[in-house]
Amino acid sequence: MTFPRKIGLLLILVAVAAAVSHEFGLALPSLRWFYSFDAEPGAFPAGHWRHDQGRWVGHALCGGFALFGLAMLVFGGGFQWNPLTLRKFTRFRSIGRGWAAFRLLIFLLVLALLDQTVVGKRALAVRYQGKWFFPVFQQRSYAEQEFGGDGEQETDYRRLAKRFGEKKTGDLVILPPVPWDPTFDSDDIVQRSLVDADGVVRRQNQSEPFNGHATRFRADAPELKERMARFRHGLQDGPTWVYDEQGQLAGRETWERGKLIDSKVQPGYVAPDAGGWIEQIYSPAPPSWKERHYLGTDSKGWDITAQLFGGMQVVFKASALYLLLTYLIGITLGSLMGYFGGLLDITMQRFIEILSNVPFLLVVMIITMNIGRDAITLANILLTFCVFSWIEVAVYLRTSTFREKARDYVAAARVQGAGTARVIFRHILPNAVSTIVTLLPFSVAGLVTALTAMDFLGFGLPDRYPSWGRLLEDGTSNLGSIWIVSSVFGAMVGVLLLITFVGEAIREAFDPKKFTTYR
Amino acid sequence: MLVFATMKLAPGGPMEQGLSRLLGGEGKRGRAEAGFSLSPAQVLELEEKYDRDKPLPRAYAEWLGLSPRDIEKAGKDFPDGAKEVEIPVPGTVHVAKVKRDDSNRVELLAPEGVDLSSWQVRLRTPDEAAERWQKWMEDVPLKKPAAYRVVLFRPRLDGLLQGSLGSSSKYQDPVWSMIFQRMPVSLFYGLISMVIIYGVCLPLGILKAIKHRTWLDNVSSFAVFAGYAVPGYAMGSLLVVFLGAKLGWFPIRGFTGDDFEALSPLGKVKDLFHHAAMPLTCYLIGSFAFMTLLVKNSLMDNLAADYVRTAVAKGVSYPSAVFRHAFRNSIIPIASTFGGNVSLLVAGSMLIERVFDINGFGLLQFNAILERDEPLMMGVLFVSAALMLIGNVLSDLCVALVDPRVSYR
Repeated sequence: MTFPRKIGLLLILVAVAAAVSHEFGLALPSLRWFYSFDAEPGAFPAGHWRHDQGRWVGHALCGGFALFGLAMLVFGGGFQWNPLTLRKFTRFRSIGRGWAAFRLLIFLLVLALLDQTVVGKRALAVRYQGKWFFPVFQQRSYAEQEFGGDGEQETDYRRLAKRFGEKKTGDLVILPPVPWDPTFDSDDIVQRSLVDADGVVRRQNQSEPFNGHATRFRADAPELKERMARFRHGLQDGPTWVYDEQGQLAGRETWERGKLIDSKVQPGYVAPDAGGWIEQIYSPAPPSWKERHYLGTDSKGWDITAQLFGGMQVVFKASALYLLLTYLIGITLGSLMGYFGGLLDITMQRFIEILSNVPFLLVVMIITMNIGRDAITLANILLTFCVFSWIEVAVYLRTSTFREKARDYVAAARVQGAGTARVIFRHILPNAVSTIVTLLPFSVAGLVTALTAMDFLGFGLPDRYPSWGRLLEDGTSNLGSIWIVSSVFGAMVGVLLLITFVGEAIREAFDPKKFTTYR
Repeated sequence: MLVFATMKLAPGGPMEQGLSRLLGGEGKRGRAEAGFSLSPAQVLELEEKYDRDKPLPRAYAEWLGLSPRDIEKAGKDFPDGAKEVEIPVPGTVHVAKVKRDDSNRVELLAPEGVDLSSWQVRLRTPDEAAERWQKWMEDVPLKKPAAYRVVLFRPRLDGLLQGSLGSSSKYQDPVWSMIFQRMPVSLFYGLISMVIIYGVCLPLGILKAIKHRTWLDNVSSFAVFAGYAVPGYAMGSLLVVFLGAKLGWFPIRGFTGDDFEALSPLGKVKDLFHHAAMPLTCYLIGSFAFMTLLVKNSLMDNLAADYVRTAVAKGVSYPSAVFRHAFRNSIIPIASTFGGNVSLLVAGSMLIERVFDINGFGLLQFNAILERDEPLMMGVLFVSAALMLIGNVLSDLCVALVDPRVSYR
C-alpha cells in the first residue's frame, strides 16, 4: 500500500471513529475535538439550527476528513517516493541529535493526543457497588448522588477517591495521572498537617520549627475551625483567634513564645476536642506529591502540570492549523508569482515589501486589543499571524519556481501539451517544494515564541485556553514562587530546543554542505 | 538600488497607520457605549475630544499633514431656539459670540479689540447629530432631537509632513519628545549588545569555519543553538525570579537605581551595569546563533572557492589565505544584515523591557497600546517602520562599502 493510501485510510478511520463514538455518547481522547464547537448554552432556542451546532460542525468536519481520506485513497495509488527524498530521509535519520529530538517530539505529540486520559479531573474508571463506570470516556456527567453522595452537581472525583479510600468498601476510583483540568479547576485550600514534637511545631519532614499561620479543626466536625494561631519558631506567638461551635469568632488570645499572656475569649467558652495543627496553604502552592500537584499551582490555584500539558496541546493544535494555512497561502502565491512573473510578480512584491516593513508584534497587539481579550479565539490569533507569515514561504518558493521554470523538463512537459495548472502543480511544485521543508521547524518555533509572547504581554488567548505565556507572567509577578517560572521555562525551552535540533538536522539533511579546504 | 528601496519601501509607514486608525476607530465605540444615558451633545463632545468627528481619509490626511488639523477646539450647544451663543475661546480668557442664521451659516463675533482671525467655527446640525448618534449608539434610540451645536476651532497644518506626530492623548506631551526621552535607554542596550554580538560572533564564526567538524565546532554549535532556543523574555523571568528575587544578586527592575542621582560618577557606572547585567543577558542569549553561523557558512563557502585554492597553490600561507582572501569576501553577507541592528539598537525589545520594567522605547509601545493612546500608538508605529526602513538603506550602504562590485550609480 502506498504512503498516501495509508494516510487516507487513517483519516477515514479517524473520521468514522469520531462520528460513531459521538453518536454513542462517548468522548474519546482527541476524537472529541471534532464535536467541541458547541454554541454557548442557551444562546439559541431549541428549534434553531445553531442550537446543536456542535453536532453539525462535527459531522461536517468528520465528513471533510473522510472525503479527503477517500480522495487520497483513490488517487494515491500511483505514488512513489522520490529516491532523492528517501536518501534525504535516511540522511536525516543518521543525524543522531536531530533524530532523537524528532522521536521525542512524536512521543510528546502522542501524549498530547491522549488528552483527558492523562490530564483531567474526570476519573478514568470508578467501581461502585460492584459496577464499573468510565466517566472520562462519556459525554454525560455523573452526579454526586449516583455514587452515594448528595447533590446533583457533577461528581468531584478527587473527593470521591478520598471518600472511597476512607470507607474501604471495595469501591474504587482510578484517576488520571494528573487529576486536574488545565483551566478553571482548583481545589479548596491545600491543607498540610504539622507535627507537634515536644511542644514545638514543625512541618513534616523538616527539621526547622514552623513559622506562619496554622489552624486547628474540631474533632467532631472537621469542617469547622476551632482556632487559628500565629507561630514563630514553632511556638504560638502573637494573636490566636478562637471560634465557637457555629464557626463564629468567639474571641482572641494573645500568646508570646508559647505562653498565653492575655485572653479576650467570651466567658463560658469550653474548648472542644480538636485535631492537630494544620497549615493552610493558599495558592500559589509549592509542588507536592501528596496533593498530586506535581509542579505546584499558580496564583489562581490551577495545577501547573495540567496547564503545561494543556499549553502543549494548544501549541500542537496551533502549529497544525498555522502550518496548514501559512504554507497553503505561501506555496500557492509563491509558485504563481514565480511561474507567471511580470505584472503579477511586481505588484505582489511591492505588497510583500510593504507588509514585511510592518512591525509585526505591534500590529498583532493592536488588532487583538480591538477584538477584545475575551472574544479572541485561537483561530483569530492564528489568522492574524498568517497575514504576515506567508511572506517568507512565498518568497522562498518564488525563487525556486523561477529556477525550475527554466529547466528542460518543464519545457518538455509543455511541448507534450500539459496545461498551465498541470505544469505548475504536477511538474514544478514537487521539485520546488522539497527545500521548503527546511523552513518548517523554524516556523513552528517562531509560532510558539510568538504565541507565548502575546499571552505573556496579556494580548493573547483568554483564560479558557491553557497557556505557557500566561503562566510565565504569573510566575514573574509572584516572585516568591520559583516553581512556576522554573517549570514553565523548562517546558518551553525543552520543546523549543527539540524543535531547533530537528530543524537543524533537517537543514543538514536536505542541503548538505560538503566543503573542501586547501591547506 | 538605494533610491529604489527607499521609494518602494516608504509606503510601509503610512499603510499600517491607516490600518491602525481604522481599528482604533472601532475600538472607541466601547467607550461611547459605556455611557449610561448619553445626550446627543455628549456623544458629539466625545467625538470632538477623540478626533472622531471627521471621516477616516480626512483624519489620515490630517495626521500626514496634508490638510489642517484642529489645534484647539471647543464645542457648545445653542440653547433651544436661540440664534446666538457665547463660547469661551480655549487657551484665552476671552469669550466669543457665535451667531447662526436660518440657512445654517455661522458667524464668529470677536469681542472688542481681540483678534480671532485664526479661529473658525462650524455648525453641527441636529440632522448630523442624529446621524452620528446612529453611528455610535446603533440600536439605542435617540430620546429627544439634538440642538444646534457650534464648534470653535483653530486649524493649522500639523502632521507628519510638518514634522509633528501630535500629542499623546493621555499625557498631553508631544509624541516626539516622549519617544526621544526613551531612546537613550534602548540605545544603551542596543549599542552594548551590538558590540558584544559582533565581538563574539566574528571570531567564533572564523574559528568554527577553520575547525570544521572538530569537537570545538560541535560543542559551540550546541551551545549556540541551545541559546537560540531560549526566548529572551522567558530567560528574563527566570533570571528575575532566581538571581533577582531569590539570591538578590541583581536588582530586579529599572534602568538605574532610585538613588542614581546621588551617586559618584564611578558609582553611577557601577549602578548602571549592575542593573544592565540581567537584561543584557536576555538580549544576547538568542542572537549569537544567526550571526555565528552566517560568518561560518560564508567563510566556508569562500574557503572552498577556486581563488583560495589558487592563492594557496601560489604559496600564500594558510592564515593569510583565510584572512586576506577569504574573509574579506565573506564579510559581504554580514554587511547585508548590518542594517537590521538599527531596529534593535533604538527600538529595544518590548518583552524584555516589560520583564525588567525598563523605561525604554519598547515599554512605551506597550503602554501606548495598553492605554489606547492613539497619537502615541501612531507615533511609535511610524518610528518603528521608519527605523526598519533606515536599517534597509544602511544595509545597502554597507554592502556597497565592502563589496567593490556593487555601486549605486
